[in-house]
This record gives sequence, structure tokens and C-alpha cells, in this order.
Amino acid sequence: MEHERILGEPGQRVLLMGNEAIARGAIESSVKVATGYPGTPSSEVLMTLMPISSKIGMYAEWAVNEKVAFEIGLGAAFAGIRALVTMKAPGLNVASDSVVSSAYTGVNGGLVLLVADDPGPHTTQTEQDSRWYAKLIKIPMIEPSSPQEAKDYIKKSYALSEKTQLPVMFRTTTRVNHTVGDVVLGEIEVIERTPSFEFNPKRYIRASMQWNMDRHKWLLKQLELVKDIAVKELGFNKVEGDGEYCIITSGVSYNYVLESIERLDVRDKVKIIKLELTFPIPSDFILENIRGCKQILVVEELDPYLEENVRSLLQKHGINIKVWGKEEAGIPEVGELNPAVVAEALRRFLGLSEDSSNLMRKHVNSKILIPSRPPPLCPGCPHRGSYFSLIRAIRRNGLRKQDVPVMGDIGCYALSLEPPLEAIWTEHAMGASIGLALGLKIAGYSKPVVATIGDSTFFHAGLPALVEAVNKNIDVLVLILDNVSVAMTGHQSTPEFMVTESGRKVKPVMIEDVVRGIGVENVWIVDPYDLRETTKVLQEALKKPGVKVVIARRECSLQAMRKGIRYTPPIIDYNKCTNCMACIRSLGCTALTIRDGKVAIIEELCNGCNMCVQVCPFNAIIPRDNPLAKPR
Amino acid sequence: MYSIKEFNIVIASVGGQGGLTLSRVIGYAALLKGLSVRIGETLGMSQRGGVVQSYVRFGNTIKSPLIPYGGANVILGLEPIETLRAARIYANKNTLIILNTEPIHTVTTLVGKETYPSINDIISELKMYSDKLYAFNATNKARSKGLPVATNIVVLAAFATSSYNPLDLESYIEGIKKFIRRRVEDNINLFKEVVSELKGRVP
Repeated sequence: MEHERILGEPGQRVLLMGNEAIARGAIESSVKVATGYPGTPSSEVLMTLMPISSKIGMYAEWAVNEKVAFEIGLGAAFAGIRALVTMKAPGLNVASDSVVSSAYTGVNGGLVLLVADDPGPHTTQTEQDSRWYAKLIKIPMIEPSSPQEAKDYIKKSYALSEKTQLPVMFRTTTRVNHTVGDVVLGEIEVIERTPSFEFNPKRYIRASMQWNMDRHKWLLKQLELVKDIAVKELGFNKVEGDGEYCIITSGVSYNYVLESIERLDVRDKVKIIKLELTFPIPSDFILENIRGCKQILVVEELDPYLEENVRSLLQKHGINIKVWGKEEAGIPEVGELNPAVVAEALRRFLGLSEDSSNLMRKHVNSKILIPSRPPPLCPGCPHRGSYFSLIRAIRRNGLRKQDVPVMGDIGCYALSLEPPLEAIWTEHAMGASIGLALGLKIAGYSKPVVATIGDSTFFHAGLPALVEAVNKNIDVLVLILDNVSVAMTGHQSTPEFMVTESGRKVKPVMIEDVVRGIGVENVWIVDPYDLRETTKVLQEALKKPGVKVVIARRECSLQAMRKGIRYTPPIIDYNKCTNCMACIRSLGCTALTIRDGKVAIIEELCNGCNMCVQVCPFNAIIPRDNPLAKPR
Repeated sequence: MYSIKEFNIVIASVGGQGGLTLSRVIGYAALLKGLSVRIGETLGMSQRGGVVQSYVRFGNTIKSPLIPYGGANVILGLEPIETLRAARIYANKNTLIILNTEPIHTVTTLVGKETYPSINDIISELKMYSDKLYAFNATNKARSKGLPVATNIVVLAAFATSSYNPLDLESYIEGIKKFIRRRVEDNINLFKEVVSELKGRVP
């Protein structure tokens, strides 16, 4: 992500990922405050802005969670400054309390809330369709279909936000955020504003029920404005073709529709109504353009959101055109769409015969069973040491693995679900490991319960649950996996950093200070590369009553390697190695392999963590470095 | 002006092999030719060691980042079973398949829960889809030149010598300069060396 692409001259054609295009859109719109919380597929927007932020006079930093991020953006927008807030779909659940009220206060400076949904899902706990939120919150929603639109529509969204005084939800999906495409750069607007804030209780205080009703009325009035401004002034929504078979679509599905039309060669039969403003539903625009349509096909990913809106619109206006929705066209609600699925739906809609041009996936008849490749923890991952030690401590305390629930949380460490560790029992929502563990104990579960949670996840939403644990004095062990990074989403900064990715010097907030500060008395800090010590501490912690916190601190090995921290890989003494596979079976490290029937270390992958040295029963893996002696 | 209607490349790899970087290098080369470009990917959750499929598409009519089933002009296989996984979905009888024969075990094959198939069996099945196959150990070649992580560049070089390659060598070199972060000159030299070594051998 070099600067020249993002800060290039207007008219230049560059290769940008959807998220980089959104970042460029924010720069072109003179956004002054950009914040959010890391979450795939949304993270690259801020990752692109942060390193160049000081150069362009922008505040671009991660916030501790999405709710705080949104409040920062909203506060800036109250003051008349343009702000961008980014998050993945579940982040909107976290932020929603503040987002709902923001529809009543409105904004002065433009505020765009990027919400990245993940049909598929590729990296998300649910296939949440966040479009319903726009309807629930009652704020305008814009959906782009390509990197170019992502950039251009961010710019138009700021205009929409300021003209209507409403925050705009910019809803994307993985195939927009993570698609790289050619993008023509636009003019960078220069907007210089002095922040100001008016004293206006009726607008900003939600403690008077009369004022709340007044603002609700105001909001509905603004939403009527949105349709006019978005469609007529700003030119959102498109119509292509002039056929009698009409297709209503939006977002990435539009691309699949276009390619399917091309493939089936049915250009003159169809008309595409591409919606870009998807809340409020642009009813006049739809009514105008379905005139002359024989039938309507709605192509959308996930829920039948557009479909239900279109059906109710037709019903309201007494229009009797058959609508092909999810059920009629066979478009799944589960998983993401692709060109083949859409082409098949289109074929059915148009009544074309079974197609022979191999659009659908063929059944493979083969003798080879392709092995699965479960996503592993990286070589040298400190979480491997933490979970290995935890399971060993449980066993050494005379308990069975299946007796001690290990609650997981959101982050790389959830990959410990895979063999050989198979460590976590749950992975639910940000910070939920601690609350769920408390529930088990409060319900009367007699054996120990462990919550395992990452450093950033702890700050994000684990902290309130730990306060609850201390206050109610629940017997629970909280293992905080501090790899000094938000690793899974691309190594973003945590509150423990001294300098962020923007170069800003910040005050580190250390986990041990926080947990001691809220009254946890039993706190240990261990290095998870040290399996013996980590196991010993966890054994002790498992036995103690009350709230115990063990902080397993060791920097993410990928991040360390990027900084040049790498230990010399150990070597195998084949005179001693019996090929017992204990190293592979207990750790599942991908730098260990089998070459010519023998255990081998892949040197270019190994970071020299020496965990395999420690688990070898025959001392056959000879260390050549000592990571424990070196500072992290 | 360059004109290509639609050209689809699938890159099958394991996280950490540089499959994503390779997709950017090729995409940039196509951009330099004035073509419309889409690059997409399907990744798991891990930073290293998971299945990674990247899609590079360029031409005048492409819109979406996804390649239709059976729609690959080329499959660049950085790892054998991942190549097979991709070929089952995207290959057709004219697809050029370039296969790096160096396997990367999975956690399940290492602990003995599943078996890693033999390279010969993999090649036989790939040949059932398309006889335009070139298999070689690209990782060893990269290692022998002192760049063990440059398997991706060796495979690109093999593709660059093929009659399927619609772009020129210079554009790929520009792509390498733009998207390879470390030891750029060494990577370019490796690319050139492999191109001259393999000339005429790849279909």
C-alpha cells in the first residue's frame, strides 16, 4: 500500500482494493477524522489512511471498540467536521446503541459509517445482513458494486449526509471490500472548517420524551428528502437495457447479473434496475422503471431485503407483476452468490432451456480424496504455547480435558479449535468468553472453567465482564493471550502500544494495570514460549478460588519477524530422533513436516520459538538459540 | 490498444507462499496494457498455512472478481493438492495448468488423520481435465537460486514463457517492482533466468 497510489493525481488510473478505494474516497472528500475497530473485511480502509494521515492533516486511529469509534466520529460530525467510521458487520451490533440515537440528533459535518458484511461467510461468526439495520435505525444506506464505485460513492455519500444532516451507512460486502480493480482517481476537495458546537438541548438531549418524538418526526421528514437528493441531485441508482424482463439488484450481485446476461446472450430481453440507495427504498425510481416490465427478478445476497421491499411497494400501488425472489429463482440465502448461481437463476426466470455451457460445477469422480487444510496457528505462534500449557495443566491437576470448559473468543487463537490442540469449546462474540464462563459457574458447574481472550478483544468487550467477575467473586480463570497486536485482522495496534501505525505517540494502557486496578488479586504474567513455567502457573491458578488472571505475553511471531526478530531454528539430531512424531502430534506446527519419512524442520518457516525442543521426549531437537533469554 | 475480451487466472496456494502478491503482480501488468482488471481471493482465517485461492481477471467485459466454474484460462498451482482443489472447480479441457510439485503437508496429513496423495496421482487427475499441463519443482528452483520464498515468481516465469501468456515480460517485471517488497532485483533476475531456462517447454 504505497502512498503514491493512494495520493495520486486526479485522472490517474491505478490498481486499488475496494477498501483502498474507500480510503481514497475519504481523502477526496476531505475527511478529517477517521476511526474504527479492525474487522475483516473492513480493516484496510484505516490501514491505508493511518500511515499517510499526518501528511494529509487527518486524524486516523483505531478506537478501543466500534461503539467508541462511532461516538468519536459522531462527535466530530456534531462539530461540523467530516468523519469516517469503519467496522465489520458484528461491530455494528456493538455500536448500534449510539448509532440508533444518531438518527435523531443528526449531524452537521458529513458522517459515513462503513459496515462491511461478509456473505460466505469468509471470516465472520454469522452471515448477518446489516441492511436491516438501516431500516431499523432509519438512516440512508448506499451500496457500491466495485472499487471505482466504492471511491466515487463515498464522495457522494458525504454530500448526501450534509444535505440531509443524517449519518450515511455505506454498506459493502467482502467481494467489494477485497476486490482489487482499476480505479480512476478524482479531485481532492479541500474543505477547511473550524469545529463548533451549538447548545441545542432539543436536538442533542434524549432525556425529554417530547423532544424525542419531535426528532422522530424530523427524521421521517429528512428521509423523504433523502430519496429526492440521492436520486435526482446525486444520481444514485442506474437503469440499463430496455427489455421486458426486469432485474432488480444491488451491490456485488450486479456484476454477476451483467456477466450472466453476457454469457446467456440475452441483452435485449432484460432491463437492469440497479439500486445504489437501498434505504430508504427509492420507490418513485422503482415505480417509474418497472413500467412495461412483464416480470421482475430480484437478485441479492443473503436475506430477501430488496425482495420484501419490492413486493410491498407493488402491493401498495396495486401493481400486479410477478416477482421472482429467493424461492422462485432458487437464489440461496446462505453463502455468497457467484456467476454460476446467478446465471442459473436468470435462465429459469427467462424460461431458457437447460444450459450445456458448463455454468454449474460438475461432479468430480476421482479416486483422490483431497486432504482438508484446516487453518493452522502460524509457526512460532505464542497461542500454541498457551493452549498446549493450559491443556497440560488441566491434566496435571488430575482433571480430564473434557471436564474443564475452555471458552474461546474472537481472534487468531480461535484457530486452536483445529487438531491437534482442539482447545476451545466456544467462540461466540467479542469478549463473550468471560461472560459465558461466569454463567456456567453461576449456574453451578462444579469443575473449573477457563476463559481465554486476546489482548485487543479484552479491551474491546472483555473488561466489563471481568468487572462483573470481580464484583460477584466468581471462581474463574481468565487467560489473556497478549500477542501485542490485533493479529488476525492484520496486526493493528492495541491500547498497549506506545506508537500507533500513524506515528502518533500514545500512552500505553497495560493489561496488568487494568486487571489489578479493578481488583483482581491473583495476577501472573508468563511467556507462553516457556511451556514449563506457563504450565506451572496455570496449574496453580486452576486450583485457587476466586478470579484469577494469567497474562500470556509474547509478541505475534509474524509481527516480530517483520521487525527482524527471528531466532535461529533448532536442528534435529537424527541419531536421537525416533520419529515418534510427538512434536508434530502435540504442537501441529506447520514448520514441522515429514520429508522422506522423517520429521524435518522447514527452515524458511521456522522462527526458532523452540517449543518443539521442549516437547521432544528424546531431546532430539537441539536448540541453537534461546528466545526466552531475549526481550520480547 | 490491447484488446482481450476475458482472461481468467486462478492462483492456487497455501497462505505464506505469495499467491496474493502474485495476483497483484499479474494484475498490475494487465493494468499497464490498459485492460480492466479484477482481482479477488478466497482465504480462510489464518495468516499462514491455510488454503488461498486468488483470481485475476482482465479484459474488456469483466465485472466481477469471481471466475465462473470451468472458466479458468490458466491455473497457476503453487502447491499440488491446492492445484487439484482449484482444478476440480475451474479447469476445462483447454486450461493451462502449471504445477509446482513441492507438497506442503496439512496438519491432518502430518498427524496421520488423512493421507497426502502421490504427485503422480495428482498429475494423472489433472491430465484428465486438460493435457496442457506443465509440472516441475518450482520451490527447488527458487531455493537453488537462494530465494526459497520466491516460488511464486518461478511459477510466473513458467507461465510467462507459455503460448497462453497474453502479456509481455516487461509488464511482469514492472509488476514485480511494484509489489515485491524485498530483494526486488534478485526476484527480477530469478524471473529472467527461469524464463530463459524454460523457454519452449511450457505449452
